[in-house]
Amino acid sequence: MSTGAAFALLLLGTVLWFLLPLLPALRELFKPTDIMPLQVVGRDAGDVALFARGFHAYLTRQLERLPTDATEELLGKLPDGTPFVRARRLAEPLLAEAAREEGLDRVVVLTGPASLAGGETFVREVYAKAGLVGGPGSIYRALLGDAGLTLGPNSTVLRWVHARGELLVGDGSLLAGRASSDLAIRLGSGVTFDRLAAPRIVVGGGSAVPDIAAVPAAPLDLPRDRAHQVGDHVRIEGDLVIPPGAVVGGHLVVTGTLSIGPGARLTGNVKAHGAIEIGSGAVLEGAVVSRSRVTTGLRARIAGPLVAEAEVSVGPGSVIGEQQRPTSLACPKVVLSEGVTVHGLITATVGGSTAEQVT
Amino acid sequence: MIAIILVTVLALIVVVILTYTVRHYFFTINRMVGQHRQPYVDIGVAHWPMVTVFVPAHNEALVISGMLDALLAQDYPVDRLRIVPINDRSTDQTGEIVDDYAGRFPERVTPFHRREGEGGKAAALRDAAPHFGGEVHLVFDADYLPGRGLVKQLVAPFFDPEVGAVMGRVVPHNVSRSLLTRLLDLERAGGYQVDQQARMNLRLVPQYGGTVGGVRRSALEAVGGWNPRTLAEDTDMTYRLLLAGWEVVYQNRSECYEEVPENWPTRIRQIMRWTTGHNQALRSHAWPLLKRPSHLRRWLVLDGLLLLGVFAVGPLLLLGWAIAIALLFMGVMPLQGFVALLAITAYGTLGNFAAFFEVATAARLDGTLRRIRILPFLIFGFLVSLISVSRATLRQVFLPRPKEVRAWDKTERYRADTNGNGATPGGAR
Repeated sequence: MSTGAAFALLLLGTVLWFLLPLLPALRELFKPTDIMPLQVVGRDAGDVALFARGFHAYLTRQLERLPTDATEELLGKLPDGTPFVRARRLAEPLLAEAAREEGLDRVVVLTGPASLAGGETFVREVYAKAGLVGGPGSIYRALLGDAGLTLGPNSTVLRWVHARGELLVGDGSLLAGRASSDLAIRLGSGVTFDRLAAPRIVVGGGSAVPDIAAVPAAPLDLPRDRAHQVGDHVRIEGDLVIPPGAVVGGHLVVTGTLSIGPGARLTGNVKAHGAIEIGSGAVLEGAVVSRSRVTTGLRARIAGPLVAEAEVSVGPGSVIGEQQRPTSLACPKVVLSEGVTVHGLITATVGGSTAEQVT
Repeated sequence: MIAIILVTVLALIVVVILTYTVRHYFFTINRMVGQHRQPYVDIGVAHWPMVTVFVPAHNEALVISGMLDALLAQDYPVDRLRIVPINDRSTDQTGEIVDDYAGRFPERVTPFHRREGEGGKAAALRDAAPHFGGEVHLVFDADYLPGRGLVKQLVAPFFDPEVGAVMGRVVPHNVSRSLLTRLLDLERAGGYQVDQQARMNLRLVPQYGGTVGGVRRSALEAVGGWNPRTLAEDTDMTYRLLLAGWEVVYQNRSECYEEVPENWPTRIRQIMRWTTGHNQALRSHAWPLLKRPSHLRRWLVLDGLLLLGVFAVGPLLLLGWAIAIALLFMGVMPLQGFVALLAITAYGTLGNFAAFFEVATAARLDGTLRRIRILPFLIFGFLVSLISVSRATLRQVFLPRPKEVRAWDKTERYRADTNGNGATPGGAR
């Protein structure tokens, strides 16, 4: 082999060696497999009932192609091949199947009012057109009700539940994913949840929440040496204690912790870099934001939104939002006490729960 | 003596480059294992404030309809959202188009026509903003395609009284058009999914990017309004807010489609414009930042300085290469033996790939694993950026223009279809 040929061979080998790790890149360049824009824009993550609406639309399309007589039980497959049953109430063999550990592997459409004994497992969605009262310990993949829905104690919903009427959730139940109602959600004790949305979300009956004494209004002098105006808010360096009954106007940012005394009233949005403690009967007419945790006493009122980056603990009888002005409570961990009412949306990304003792 | 000076300068450059390398890795690892911080994105229900959305438009007839359709389709209380297309001395059909929308939606669309004055987005915003109320002023470029929930998402952080500006994520829409668009898609992913979000996670300095975002009107007024004497009014605004005690927030889940440049000359012009503007901000805000107002933490100041200097790294790197070659021919070896071997090997293994690692991590977080395959070609984008940034910086240093900004330097638009967009099928007419 001549020197030239050897050099050419060496050069060729070097080039090939260099190109070898680039083969996947060259292949993707000339034969693209992943060149679509990211499918992220326009998704509607804020709509808690999105999945329920999607399921309803899907089922309506499927049922349109089936016989319309709803008085007879119809057992079979939807046009897309999904096994289903449509009936006024579930027949005994199907209830027995649902009571097994493997559960009932059919989409269930109940056209009449129904009540279940408890302990059933529904592997696919349940659609109750005329209300459903579940028994204890049932497991639902997802549940949609055109009227009210009642989940028995210790029930589990794995994906979502939506009721066009009231949604009653029994003690000790688990609502993984999304739970929503067009009217109201009433939660029992020891309920755990991720996302709740309804015009009224209520914990227990509220009868055990004691009344609180009125606190006379008192003026407040902000600590001038640590307070300065930044645009439309006052910034306080360090901690701040607002005495009972004090009235504070305007937006407030506190770089330490914020303690709001019982009966105090704050008219603007409030933020603390540290924890916020809200006394009993305090009224906050704007948003509350904390980089840490927010704790409220008895019967506090917050117009909202309420945002904390660690934990929110809402005290007995407290109210977040208003019927005419629903709002959001967003925090990784949320604990709701007896008698709490939230108008709007609760998001607990790590987990939310109600107190163990509610009436 | 010359050799000592060169070695000293080279050592300083190495320190700067290493600092940015560590920064890349720190941010990337934070996104891989750190806590994802997005406290306001779950505010989905609220008593929403009045909002004005500005759409600065200079000869945007190709794209302005799509933008206005998308804004009209927003899931936001109609009586609380005012849409203001700013027709800035357009010579195409932009003025007629926005007037047509105003005629059909008089309660919702209020055009602002600028017929004279200096050019540029900042000047347009400076002139328009005082004429419109609203607690929040959002800004979108005319070629963007927001999804219907985006305005709510971008407004939500303003319930926090300390937030002065909000920035969403920009996602390229025309990815498939060329190698450049594919590379820019990766770059954008790295910049937003990793870089911006890590700074948000770490409470450092997320940057307001001038579009897909907005400012609180009271904060805007408190810092003196938009600055038309800069090519990067977004960076300038970020630092003015920061120095005045406001917080800038980035929301990774608030995504919006954009058109990225499809050819290299357009891209080079874009980089040079950004470089000039960013360096203007460096000149204006580095010293006030170094003086560290009492409300700014040390880490925040350091990150702010590094962010300001990001476009100065390119010329420094080139200078470092030149000095290294000069020292080689002068026979000066600043490092020798095992230490040299270790340093070169370590940097060759880790340092060179810091930015690539960041981009690959972003693609992984986005779940688009197959597009990582073209990652090696990012070296072309890197080289083009290096040269463009260096050219712009050198031109700025040695050829200072008495009037630096007086005209729109527009990015070319490519969209053929102007009838609505994916976010609003059929438009909102």
